[in-house]
Amino acid sequence: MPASDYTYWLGKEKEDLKWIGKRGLHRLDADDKATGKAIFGRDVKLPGMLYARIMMSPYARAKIKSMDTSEAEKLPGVRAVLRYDDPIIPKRIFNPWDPDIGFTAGQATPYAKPMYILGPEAFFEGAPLGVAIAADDLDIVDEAMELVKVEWEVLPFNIDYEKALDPGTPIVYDYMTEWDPNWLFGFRYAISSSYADEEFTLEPGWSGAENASNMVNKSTGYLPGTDLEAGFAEADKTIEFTFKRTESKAVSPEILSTIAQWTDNGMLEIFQHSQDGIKKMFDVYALMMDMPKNRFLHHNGYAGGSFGGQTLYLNCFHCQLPIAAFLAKKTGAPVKVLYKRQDNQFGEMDEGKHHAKVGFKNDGTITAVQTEGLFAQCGDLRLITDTFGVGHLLSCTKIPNLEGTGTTVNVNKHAFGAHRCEQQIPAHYKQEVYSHVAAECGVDEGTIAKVNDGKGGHGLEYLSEYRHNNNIPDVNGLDLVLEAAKDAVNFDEKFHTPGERKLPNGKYHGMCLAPHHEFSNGANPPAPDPRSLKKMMLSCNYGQVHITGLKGDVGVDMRTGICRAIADELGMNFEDVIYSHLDESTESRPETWLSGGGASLTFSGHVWTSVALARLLKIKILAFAAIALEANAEDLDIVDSNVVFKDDPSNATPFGSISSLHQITATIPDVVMDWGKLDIPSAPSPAGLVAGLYMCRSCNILEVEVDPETGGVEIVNAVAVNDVGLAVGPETCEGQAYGGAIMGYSTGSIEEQIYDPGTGVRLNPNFIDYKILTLADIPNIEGIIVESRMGTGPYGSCGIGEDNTTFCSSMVTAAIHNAIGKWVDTYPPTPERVLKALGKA
Amino acid sequence: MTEKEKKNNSGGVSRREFLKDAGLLVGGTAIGSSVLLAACGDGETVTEMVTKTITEQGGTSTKTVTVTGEPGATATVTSPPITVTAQTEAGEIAEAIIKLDINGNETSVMVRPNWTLQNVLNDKLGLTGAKEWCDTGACGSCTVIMDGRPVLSCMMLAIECTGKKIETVEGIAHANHPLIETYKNNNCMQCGYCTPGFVVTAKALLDKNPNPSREEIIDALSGNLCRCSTYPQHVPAVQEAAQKLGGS
Repeated sequence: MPASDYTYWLGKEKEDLKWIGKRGLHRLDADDKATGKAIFGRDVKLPGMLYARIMMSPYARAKIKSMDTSEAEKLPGVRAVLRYDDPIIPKRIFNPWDPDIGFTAGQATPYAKPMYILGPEAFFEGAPLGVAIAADDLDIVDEAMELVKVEWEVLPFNIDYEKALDPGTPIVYDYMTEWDPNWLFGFRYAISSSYADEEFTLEPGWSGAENASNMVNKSTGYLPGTDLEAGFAEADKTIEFTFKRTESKAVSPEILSTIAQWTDNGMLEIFQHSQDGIKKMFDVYALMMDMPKNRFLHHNGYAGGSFGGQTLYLNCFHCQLPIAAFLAKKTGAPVKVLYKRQDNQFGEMDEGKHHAKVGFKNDGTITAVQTEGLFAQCGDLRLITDTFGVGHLLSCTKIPNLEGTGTTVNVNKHAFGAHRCEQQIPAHYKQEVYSHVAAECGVDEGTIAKVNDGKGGHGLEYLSEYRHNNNIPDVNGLDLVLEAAKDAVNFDEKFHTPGERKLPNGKYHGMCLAPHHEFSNGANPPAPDPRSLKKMMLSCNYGQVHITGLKGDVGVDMRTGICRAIADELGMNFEDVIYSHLDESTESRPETWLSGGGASLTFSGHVWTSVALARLLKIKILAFAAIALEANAEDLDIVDSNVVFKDDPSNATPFGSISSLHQITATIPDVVMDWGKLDIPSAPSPAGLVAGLYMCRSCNILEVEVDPETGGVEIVNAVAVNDVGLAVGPETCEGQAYGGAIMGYSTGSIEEQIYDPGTGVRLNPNFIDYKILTLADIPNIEGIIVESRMGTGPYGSCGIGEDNTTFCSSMVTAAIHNAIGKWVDTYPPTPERVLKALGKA
Repeated sequence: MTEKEKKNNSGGVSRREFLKDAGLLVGGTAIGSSVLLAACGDGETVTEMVTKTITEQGGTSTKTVTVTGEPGATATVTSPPITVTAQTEAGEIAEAIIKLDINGNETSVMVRPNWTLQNVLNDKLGLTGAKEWCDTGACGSCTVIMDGRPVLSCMMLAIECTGKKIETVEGIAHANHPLIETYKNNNCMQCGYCTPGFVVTAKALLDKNPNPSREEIIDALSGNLCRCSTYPQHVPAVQEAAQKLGGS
């Protein structure tokens, strides 16, 4: 077990922190967002800007046999028509396994679809292809698009993942022999084994068509030492169950758009709705446009809801940037490519069918779990294959025998798109296992969680010993959150076994309790590795400290959190810490990356960087102040933006009045050079633990009322309790708690993308027919924050947000079971499905 | 197959495309679309669907508003002229100049008959608070106040709005309405894309009902979607603003 001193990162006691945890501070983005001043990518308008759209496939699978754009080209106001066969477009098909792109297999595997620019093939309805048109305004673009004549070769398709491997089912990629052998190589690598380490070679005469299959991947993973036979033999009882999840969508508010313009010195300037303009995205774009990687200037504005989906994969997959760039090149003007709402109704991560076998003792102690899942290709394959459906059981239980198998198949639907993606399906598996065992044992899920609490097959004593050895506070995190959640809804008085509580209104009352772990995707401590540091500089400026840092925003208020931390580290007043965006860069993600969409307030390499830079800057400030004040640096401190003498704090000199301080900076090279001098110890390492650290726990409780006559389900009460370690911004944490929970209840109770099985066309790519919960639909809900300081981010903090969404989406059917005593086997539990479970439909 | 044929096969219909087919002729021909009375009336209190006609009369545009389901409830509204600057060969308006009172500032703007008010505000006039999310009148992110009533600007043809008094979130903020402060105090935003729409709807509610109950606030804001699900904090924000304005 690794041992390291966590004290350095834990920092001051909470009562000594002035700005971290302070309530009543406005978010730094609050005014922009409340007043409409916040500029999102879609709001950007440049002088002389043209507008453009891309043709979208009307068919689930089709090929363009011929296309006549002559009438569109003649329309007044049309400035450029970019066809799929335009010489400016590289003929290469880009695959995510291309070594020049450098994705890991895990990153690339979910995108088992080719990335191409306006290629003539459509794999799904709504696929961008064929032609893009730029004109003076959107009216002209739309009119011109209607003048395009296309002769389609409509091809057989399949959108049913359960039939994907049946003999005779159309193979999604059977035509790939016509394409670039390099791409074939990558694709073959992909379909053979996305996780294989072995080298593949393109054998002479190898035919993609002969080898094509809808199988993408089949993998099995297990906890080391797993013996399923022994585990099930040890059990008092063994149960098996199956559940399905249909497709839900992220439905980000801001519709995808990209503006591109070429500068005089050959740089490509970009404004794009993107969660994070990370380097790998531009690596892909550079490859697509055959240009150096250092030719991009990326402006990352506010992002209107991303939730993981509006990130590098989808942006690259849709190729908006290269299309906008080529149109800008042709016209010599900035070009804005705009999608419509239905064009943006893409991305899913959870469609699939799942089976579990669970062995347990009469007290709820689980002895073995075996899962097997079949996922549409859009399924969250990376996360699933990383954790094989039992990921959450690995990360927060002591269950000794765990094995999961996942099979992923291709269908003619849009590629994967993350949506609050922290192991969505493994979250479903864990909750289903807990709720089924609890129902069988006649207890609540909290009881099951307590008797199985642990990590990677180890019990609580393992976690306790680890925390002790690493100077991490040692608290029973599960007890903390269970108590808070149960008290909030008076759970113990309300709890009943399935089907036992009929209400005076004729409905049945049901409850579900979901204990789970923190959201810490990325919390694994990166410091003091210089590779973990992000672009940032601190500089003193006339009584203020300016942070020059990269920009990115998905609503988690990271900027305010960083300013709070730096103010506390330096002894500055919050209003004297100013965050200035380093806007132009090909790496613009640090505020959000590893915090995930909507999760963390404090962790990520950016915050580690902030803390390290602030501590270094303070050393420099006090050294310079000592010269100016003719004192010893060790006798000085900074309090409320004044340099004070420690033995006489009333002897205070305003920070801004010491002229020699104005040009002091702290930069990343400084930190790296001075790392040794700063005596920064190694932070705790996850090595030796399975599936990350996850010290903190969270707990959600949901109450529903089910109408046995109509099958209607009403969510009436909920509480979301999250141990965030330390809440840097308490109100924002609470917002993530109830906000994540409501989003989860929405996807888990009503959201479903519907297709016409006869055509493969989406029937509800709009907000008239695709419903999400509104203010009138939501339950009474409370967000409660618990602070154990066991998180592995700075100050003992950890993430929040994703866990609420992923677990809450899996709670609804369990609550319904508690109400009516019957399992609804498919999410979302529509009235029809509830009635079917009741034997009434 | 043309793009038009393609769209007929799709479940998604752009509001812009729908409006484009609405048609508008110069000289007294009825507009072919139905609109919300709440968006076009002049002091009426009903919000049912209506049909309306525009008659050009010597430089003054007279609108006759007929209330569906309430026979006889007819209002005549006199509006400033629409100055037609370009026509098609068929006599349709191609471009026209309309006058809008936006946040107290009289503004003349050239529009085409199929342009929505949201498009004109956001893209043509740079008032970015009116956001496009659904483009089908289902999300509330583009809400503005027109003649005292909240309307969905993506559902309004700009050319129909001539002479209208329009309040956007920018105007509400410029007037230092307490909602801005209470929305900030209550942490009502995450990604923030939908926030202006909530503020505008809440302002319209408080204008009409300075002391709304919790249920009335929920009812008023239930047409505004928030994917980040900031919903719970909007109720206290509106209640606090009501208190600041002198309500209970």
